[in-house]
Amino acid sequence: MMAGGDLERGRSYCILRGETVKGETVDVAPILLTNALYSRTWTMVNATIDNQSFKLKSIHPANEEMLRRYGGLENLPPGARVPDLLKVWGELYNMQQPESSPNRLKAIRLDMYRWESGRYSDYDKFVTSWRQVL
Amino acid sequence: MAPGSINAVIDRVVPQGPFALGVVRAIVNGTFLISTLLTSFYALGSLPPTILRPTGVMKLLPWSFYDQLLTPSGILILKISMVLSLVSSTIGFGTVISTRTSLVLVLFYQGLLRSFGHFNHDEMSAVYFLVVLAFTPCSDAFSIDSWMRKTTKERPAFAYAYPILLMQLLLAWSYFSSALIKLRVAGLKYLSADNLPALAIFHSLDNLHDTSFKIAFMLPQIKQYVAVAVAFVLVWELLFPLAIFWQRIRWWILGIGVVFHFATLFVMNIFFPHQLAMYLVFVNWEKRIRRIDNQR
Repeated sequence: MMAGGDLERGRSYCILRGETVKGETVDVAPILLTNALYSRTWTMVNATIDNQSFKLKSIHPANEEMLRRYGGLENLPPGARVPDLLKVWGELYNMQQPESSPNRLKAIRLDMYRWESGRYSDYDKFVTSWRQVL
Repeated sequence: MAPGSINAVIDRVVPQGPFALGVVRAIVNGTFLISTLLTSFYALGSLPPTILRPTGVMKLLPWSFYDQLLTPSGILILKISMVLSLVSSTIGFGTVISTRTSLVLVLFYQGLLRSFGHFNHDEMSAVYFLVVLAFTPCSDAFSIDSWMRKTTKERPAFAYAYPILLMQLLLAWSYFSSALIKLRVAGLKYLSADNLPALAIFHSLDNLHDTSFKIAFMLPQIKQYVAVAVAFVLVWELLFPLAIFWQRIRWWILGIGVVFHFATLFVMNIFFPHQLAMYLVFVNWEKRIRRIDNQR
């Protein structure tokens, strides 16, 4: 933020969405699920997509195990731990709904888009998506 | 500047009694107490430790500690400890101990949050204030401790004035240094017409921010005026230290700060509630209580 905005630089961003039992797709606001992370949710998601927790000097044992399974950092897919985060968010969302509610989620996903640089338009070029069945 | 003239400046700009420092203690600790009570620690404890990136001294703690902490019982213990400590330090009970335990617990909690996200600034001034309060006589008035003692501790006025001056300087520095960093990192490019519109739109595209205001998308149409506003804010940040020494413009500078922080909320979906609450350190609480006493 100190460097300011740069119109020439493309930027990626994410939208968290849920797929309800009745078949609708709804936007899910993470601040209503994990409010401790206020003002930080987007950087937590960006760091998770970038696998930054695998690039530490001391890695969590479960991440070490995952790295071994994939054969190293270079083989790890982007957002290797995003499904874990989505699962937590999906469960927290469903806990806020009555047991029989059709608004409960059967799946939750993180859709990534890119705002290509250079002009104030075309904000939502779809890039990729992570989906977690609940 | 001679020590005598420094004291004369302090006499003029900072409240001199224990009451003001006691009120500031209650405000700073109370702010963290309210935010702790309003936060779902259960949800925080549900997050997977595998996405944690411990920062600074947080790296010294073993992963097994974080595995235990990020569980319903582990995080509940942290919340209960924080609430008990912050209640005590807010009301001024066992203040010498409680202000220090509150400092350690809040510092740890802020480190935990930053290990998930990033090093953002909102709470930082308030954390520095906790450090100041933990080592100053902030329970000599406006506290349960002073009420239970029933005798007044005699200390020189500067023992109460300097901590408040230090907190005002820390808050002023946070704005002044912010302007310096902007100029150092981006230079005059920071004043380009596309700076704020591009940044504000980026912060308005996702739904991972705390609010979803879309005012940013109107900025490109008025970007020349927006550039003037950015320059104005930069000058305001550089002039913020004047709020300490020049009482006449203090409320103008703080008033612009309130407008600025609400503007960042509506335009960029970014808000600094802790930083705003810390503006109350500029209120002369000694004068306020005297005025209330005189009205009785």
